[in-house]
Amino acid sequence: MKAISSLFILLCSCFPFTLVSAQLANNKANLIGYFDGRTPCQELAKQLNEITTPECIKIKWRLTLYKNGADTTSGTYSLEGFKFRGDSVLKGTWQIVSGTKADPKAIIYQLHHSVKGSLFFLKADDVVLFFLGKDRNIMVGNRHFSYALYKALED
Amino acid sequence: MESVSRLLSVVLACCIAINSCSQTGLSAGTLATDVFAGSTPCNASVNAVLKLPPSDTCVFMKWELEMLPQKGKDSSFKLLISYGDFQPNTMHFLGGGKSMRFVGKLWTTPIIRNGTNYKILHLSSEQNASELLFIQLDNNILHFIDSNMKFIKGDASFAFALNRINASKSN
Repeated sequence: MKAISSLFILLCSCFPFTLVSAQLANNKANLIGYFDGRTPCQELAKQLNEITTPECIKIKWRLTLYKNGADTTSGTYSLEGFKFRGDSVLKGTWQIVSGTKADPKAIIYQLHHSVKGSLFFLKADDVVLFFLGKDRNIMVGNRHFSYALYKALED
Repeated sequence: MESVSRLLSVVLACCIAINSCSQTGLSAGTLATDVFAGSTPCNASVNAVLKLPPSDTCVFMKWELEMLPQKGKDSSFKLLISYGDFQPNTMHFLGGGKSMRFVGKLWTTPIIRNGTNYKILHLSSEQNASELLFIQLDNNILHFIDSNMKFIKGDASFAFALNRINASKSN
């Protein structure tokens, strides 16, 4: 009896690790990529309805995109940077839509967020994404920073 | 009296026309100058095109590109590049960095990506080893591409893109 209860406890203690490992493996298989970059601050703060100081000149971002299994037209994301760190990282679902003003056939990631609404990214290439403004044009940067994010080689 | 007022009207119209030309600095056949700028990482293939001395320290670069379109003639460009290492916590170069100026010819060729026509900008200068190439993503954004028409990748700190810094054009 004691042996059985020990085995039961052992199995129970292993279960959470197995579950976590499975989730991680699943996420890794569905990972499209990590996209990193630094953008100007003020315009995106305005777009995200966040108050910032005039001294804020740049924001460092990491966008992580996961697909829904075999479906490559939708998935989940996390967007980290600016005020969105730790527990405040922006998370939600995305779907592919089409069209910027300059290119009606362009591939666009529309990120949905329950509070912030939608954010749009142009997929300029497999390794380059651009933040789009509310007018669905690529946001225009300055002498120091652009609105591009680049696929990182690894985490 | 009538002829005097006519003469005054003609003189006034000429003055307005001359003033307008001198303000824009445009002559017949010259279109508005497009000015793009940006900061990029240093990249071996770009350094090679620019013929940067391999012994120079190059961590990041600042670019200012003036495109001078001409009606019925080859367009031209002026390019100012500065490069060097970071002065910590600033956007300046340690020790001021180094600068290079290029002038040359500019032309475009079409490319189709995902069923849409884009322009490739070719910048050719006698000082360069080969052409500098950009894809024009819209009226306000240029992105560096290599000779295989692949996007040159930026990094977590800097993009390989130039932004229009004169008045933005609508798309």
